[in-house]
Amino acid sequence: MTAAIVYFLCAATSFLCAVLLWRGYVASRSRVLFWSGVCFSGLMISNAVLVLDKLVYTDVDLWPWRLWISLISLSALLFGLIYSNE
Amino acid sequence: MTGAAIPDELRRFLLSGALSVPHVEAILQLRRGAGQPCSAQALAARIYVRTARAAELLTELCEIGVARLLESEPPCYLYAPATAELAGLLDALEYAYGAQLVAVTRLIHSAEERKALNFAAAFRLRKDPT
Amino acid sequence: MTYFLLGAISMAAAVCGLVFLRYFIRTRDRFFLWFALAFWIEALGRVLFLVSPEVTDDSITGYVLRIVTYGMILLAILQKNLPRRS
Repeated sequence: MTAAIVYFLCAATSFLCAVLLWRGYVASRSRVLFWSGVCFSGLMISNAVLVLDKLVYTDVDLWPWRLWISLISLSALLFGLIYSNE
Repeated sequence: MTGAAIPDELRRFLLSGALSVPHVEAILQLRRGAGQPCSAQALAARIYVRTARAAELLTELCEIGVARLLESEPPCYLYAPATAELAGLLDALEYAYGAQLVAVTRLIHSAEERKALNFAAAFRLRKDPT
Repeated sequence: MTYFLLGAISMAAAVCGLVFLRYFIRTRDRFFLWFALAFWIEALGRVLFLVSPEVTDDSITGYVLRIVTYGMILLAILQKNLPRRS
């Protein structure tokens, strides 16, 4: 039960961040917001897969998938923070 | 070591983020060409970037209104400020870049601050101008 | 493979934290300090996953790390939207 609450909270936070960042990108076309939006969308997906992993598909280990999604998401954020020209 | 202050209009122009350091170097090279057309390849050799990057810089300078594309093969660019005001700004830029390199590059690099401000601003739930 | 992914995620998160720290230094906006801490805790968490086999997503430590990471992000968003000027 605690697990479900924690996982949903994390997914909800990522979702909130993704929504705010995409909204900001649409308004300003700021590239750092685009890549940040990609990152938090990915983290949201990773958290959603975590929920599926732990609560739905309990016989399958989705950990490597979650790790790949997290890595790609963070790489996108890093790219945006360092390379985007405003 | 401050010397003469950078003119306000130039300061605002640099803070607007319209130009990066490679853009400024490209502009100075075009100006030094004294009206001679400059290809992306020639610019790349002078400012030590890849030809593709030089072509991007020149295209962006055309969009800002600093350069003009000539219909030639290969495509060449001419220093051609769109307005007298811009021409004046670029004169001031060349002088300032020579006399106060550190101050000018600091203003250009505050674009990073803009990235940070954009990121933080996105998280304001209500869009108010604070 | 998972070792590689954990290491890569840890490094990416740590560097993101560094960039956010730099943004904090430039802007003096505590918003970035919270983000920097969040990403560093994420980085630390991944290292713990690597070195301690008992630390998993389902362990107490795993929950605490997750709550703290996402909690800091929520704190940053909250602080950004409070009426008093920070």
